[in-house]
Amino acid sequence: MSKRRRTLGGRKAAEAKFWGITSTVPEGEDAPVAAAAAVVRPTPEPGALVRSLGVPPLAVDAAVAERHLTAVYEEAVRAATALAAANGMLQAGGDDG
Amino acid sequence: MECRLGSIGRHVAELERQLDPNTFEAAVAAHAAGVASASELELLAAHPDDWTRVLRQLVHETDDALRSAQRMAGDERGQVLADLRQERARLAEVLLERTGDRIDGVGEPPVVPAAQPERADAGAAAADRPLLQASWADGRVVVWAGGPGAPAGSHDVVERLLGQADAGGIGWERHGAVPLPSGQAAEARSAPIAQTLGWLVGIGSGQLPAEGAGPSLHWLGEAAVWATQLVAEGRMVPVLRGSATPSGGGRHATGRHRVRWVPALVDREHLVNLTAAMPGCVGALQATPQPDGLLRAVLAAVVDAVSRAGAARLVAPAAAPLATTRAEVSEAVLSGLDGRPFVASTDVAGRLAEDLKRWAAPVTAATRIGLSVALDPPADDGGWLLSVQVTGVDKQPLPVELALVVASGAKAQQVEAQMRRLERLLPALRRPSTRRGQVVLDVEEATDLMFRAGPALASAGFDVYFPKVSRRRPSPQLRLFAEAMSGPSQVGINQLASVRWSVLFDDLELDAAAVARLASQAAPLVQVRGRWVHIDRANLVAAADALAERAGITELSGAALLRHAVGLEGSSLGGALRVDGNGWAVELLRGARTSPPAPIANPEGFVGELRHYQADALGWLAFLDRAGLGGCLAMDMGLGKTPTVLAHLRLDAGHGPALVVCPPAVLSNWATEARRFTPSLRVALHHGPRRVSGSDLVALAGRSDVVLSTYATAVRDMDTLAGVEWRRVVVDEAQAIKNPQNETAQVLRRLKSWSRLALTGTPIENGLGDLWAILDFVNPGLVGTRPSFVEQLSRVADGGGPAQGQEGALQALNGLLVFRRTKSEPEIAAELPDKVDKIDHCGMTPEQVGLYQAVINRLLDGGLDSDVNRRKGQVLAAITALKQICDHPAAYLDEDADRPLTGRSGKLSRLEDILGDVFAAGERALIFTHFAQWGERMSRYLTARTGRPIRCYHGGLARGARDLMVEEFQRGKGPGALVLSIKAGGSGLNLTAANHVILYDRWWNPAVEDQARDRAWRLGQRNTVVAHRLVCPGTVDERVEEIVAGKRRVAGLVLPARSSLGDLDAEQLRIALGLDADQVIEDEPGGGDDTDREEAAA
Repeated sequence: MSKRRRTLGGRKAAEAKFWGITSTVPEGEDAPVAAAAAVVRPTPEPGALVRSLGVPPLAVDAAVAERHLTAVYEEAVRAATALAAANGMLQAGGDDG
Repeated sequence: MECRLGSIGRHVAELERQLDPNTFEAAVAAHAAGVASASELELLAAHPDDWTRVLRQLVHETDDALRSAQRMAGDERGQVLADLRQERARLAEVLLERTGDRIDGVGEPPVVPAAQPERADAGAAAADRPLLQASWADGRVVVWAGGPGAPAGSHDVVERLLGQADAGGIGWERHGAVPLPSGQAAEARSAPIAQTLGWLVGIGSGQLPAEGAGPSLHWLGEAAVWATQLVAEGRMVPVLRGSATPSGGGRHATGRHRVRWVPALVDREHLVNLTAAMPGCVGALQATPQPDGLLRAVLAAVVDAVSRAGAARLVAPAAAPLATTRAEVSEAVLSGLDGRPFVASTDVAGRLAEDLKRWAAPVTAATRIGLSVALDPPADDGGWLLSVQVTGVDKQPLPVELALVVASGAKAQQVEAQMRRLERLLPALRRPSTRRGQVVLDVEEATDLMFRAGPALASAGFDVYFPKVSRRRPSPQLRLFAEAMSGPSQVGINQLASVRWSVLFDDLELDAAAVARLASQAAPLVQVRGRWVHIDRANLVAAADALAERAGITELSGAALLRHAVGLEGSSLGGALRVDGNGWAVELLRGARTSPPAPIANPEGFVGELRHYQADALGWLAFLDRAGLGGCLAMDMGLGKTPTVLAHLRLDAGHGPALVVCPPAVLSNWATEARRFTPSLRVALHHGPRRVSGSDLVALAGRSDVVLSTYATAVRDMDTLAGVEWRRVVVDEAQAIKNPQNETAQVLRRLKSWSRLALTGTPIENGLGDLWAILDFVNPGLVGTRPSFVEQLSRVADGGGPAQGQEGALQALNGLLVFRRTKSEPEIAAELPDKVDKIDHCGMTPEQVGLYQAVINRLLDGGLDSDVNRRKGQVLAAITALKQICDHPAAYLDEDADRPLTGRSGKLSRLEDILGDVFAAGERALIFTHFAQWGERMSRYLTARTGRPIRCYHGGLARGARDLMVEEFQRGKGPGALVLSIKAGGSGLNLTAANHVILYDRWWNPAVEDQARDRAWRLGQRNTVVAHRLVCPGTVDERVEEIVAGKRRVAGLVLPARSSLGDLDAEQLRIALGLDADQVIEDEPGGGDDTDREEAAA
């Protein structure tokens, strides 16, 4: 292969990468997770993660901090849920688990 | 709130006086961030020069911070740079807006591309039209048009593509051009992520039009969707960022800070995949594009925007304007979770930021360590084993203790950190145990874990492997298993069966012992179809009570079993009893409920076509015969009970005569319909003075398939009728026997019959006792005592099922002892015609007969005028009088208005019957009469009788009063009626609130009657309109139409051609107008209760 051809091939590859027309999926594998996972399942326990971290290092009453943080988590989850619902991505939890 | 606002006002006034530099700076920053409060805006407006000065100062400070951030290393670098660039852009924008000055600095996007490939090679094999592309720059989405082989799009092209992609409404601003590999620069627009979020998620989820969108835009959309998923799963944590170089120095330095929300528990594989999929042009505006960092920056920006939007919905606690102590900074953090900047001591805030970072590290640090929690179903000792496994230390999951030994120092610390997180949510793991990460739970703990704590563990990022559960709490259903006891004499309702009682929770059957055992558990947990079900304790207690109540019931007769099945013996569990096993009653119930009898659509010998519900009813009647039961056919008025029963009688013909007992008003109708639908049935009429008696009556029954009679006649001739072995006794308008104490009900019970059938459209007029009386007549003794029946069925009626009240009670028995169908059922309504015309034959009381005969005698014996026209007038006047007498003697006589009306007119009695049915169905009726005065009197009478205001519309009323009457009637809901003079109200009015039209007397011209009917049957009517024409057979009522129409054959009399009323001689008139004794129905007064009612009302 000549130097000229190598240069051309490299440029083409770089340009394809720039425009995103190079498949990043290895042949024979499933599509990337994002493409298949446009489903949102809101957590039934918005404050679980923050509770698992223990008391935040804030010099305020721990109960007040936990209450306010949990409320903010609930509202944030609600906002994300609304966004998901508006775009048809919401999947409610079933009776069984 | 008022108090809080007042406090803010005072606070602002104080700040005004002092113009604290930190507070002012915070206000400038808040304004640039778009989150300034009203007081902050006021403050800025009051000091415009200071505002501009501080803006410039902040832009320079941010540039300094950017320079220093560019020297940072680590994961946060990209995100910090993006934050600062975003902030710098906002500040510069406000400055440009206020002064027109532009300050160039490190925050500007690069204009010159790093590489400029030769154009000749670009996009050789790709699209030739520009697509809408998106890049990321400083927290903004930058859109532009381009593609391989396509020229860079201008602003116009971008605008058009944005419109196509449903993004035209976003406040896009012009942005620096985007360098392309071709060396060109694409004109661009940009908007903050918060403004584009909904659109991006729409693109990423495929909800918005994707035509014309390039891969870079799709990629950003996917990233936005992922970030939305993270927030919806609660996977984010707040961190504290200082966003500018501090002012002041040393320990007293202060600076602006704000809370940022960052993603937590980010899936590494997802991150790698999406990073690899990123088109390079997404980072075209980055000085040194790093796909991993860029994706993190996008995720962080979206997570931050969504979380802040959520936090902004809450009223945040107040914080100090300048936070200098740890407590004040902590308060500022809590109040600033919506991203609002605050000024704080750099030293104190820096330490707190580090602490927050460490606090959140177990969920933000890049780690492969994960924990999975498994719960094993109980072993023999009843304990549930909870065990934790660690992933990410070895190829296989390891028990915690082993993982801690195998893991290196850093990984062991991570395992410890994750275990601590888990233990906070699952304190049972802290219990002393032989092995760390393993603990045995009791059933209460296991229940709590599976049904409550499990979802929290999953939300906190732990893998959960629990036994399958059903979150539905099953309701208990009482079950009776019956086994028939042998014995040839024990069949039908007397057949004895041994019975066992149990309770079903879905498919799980529990006997009394099992219920008691479960009820004693702290957390009743059972496995049903492979899923663990938590049974409500209250339901268990109710089940235990229900089984205890029946513990002594081990044998039941067929009748008792049926009563239990339909809820007449009560059930503390509510709902229907499930009956299994074998024997007469079980088979009967199975036939009625599980596999309902097949409809009989084309019965032999029936001329005509049955509607589908009539075919169902016919199938049910055959089922009753097979079961040896009597029943109540309770189809709504107008649904065709008579032809249905005639079809059944025809199918059953040859097994013995059937006796049909009905009110006189419908006697002719039975005969007419029998001739029409079942002409092969031998039908005999047993009514009137010429009826046979004694052995002749027995003989008549013997040579007939059906004998038709009336209640009063049947009661009078009971001695003879009771000697006949009837195949079936049918009581039509079975309300007549609703009072079990009255003579009719008592005497009719003497009839010997293989089967009994009751027909009524209103089986419950006054209460459930009516239904009991009917069912006890058709199946003596089967439904138990009246008080018990009423009490138990009342519970069913009030049970809150889909059909409440009386219809609910009927539904409980439907298909077994009752066949109920109503016109309101959609499938029946769909099959019904728009209108039904019915002739209602009415009886004549002796008073009516006497008056009628007197008028005829006076006309004919008094001498007819020799002049044809005057004679015609005489005849017409006589016809009017006769019609009035048919209506009611009071309509003819000039009598005292206080004289009672009850019991003097067969028509009026029939009208009351019809209105009773109409009102019971909650419907409304129009009653047309020829005679306005009579109409007024009738309306007063009906008002008193029914307790509902029934007014009379006639020509004597003022126009306004008439309009108001119509309006009120149309507006009314539920049962109601309006009497109308046919002259005044027979045309022009719209009275669609009614769906029954009762033509009380006949008009000269049937077209006028049709017009009157059409007051209700017109546009706007949603129900079938039933027109009832009340006619007294054997009177002028039947002939007026023929006479007026000049028909040649009137009452069997053949008239000369072209004859008129004036042409008829006395004898001809006697035949034409006189009473036909064979046709006249002798009115039978109702029970004494009716008379009592009128007197009470009067």
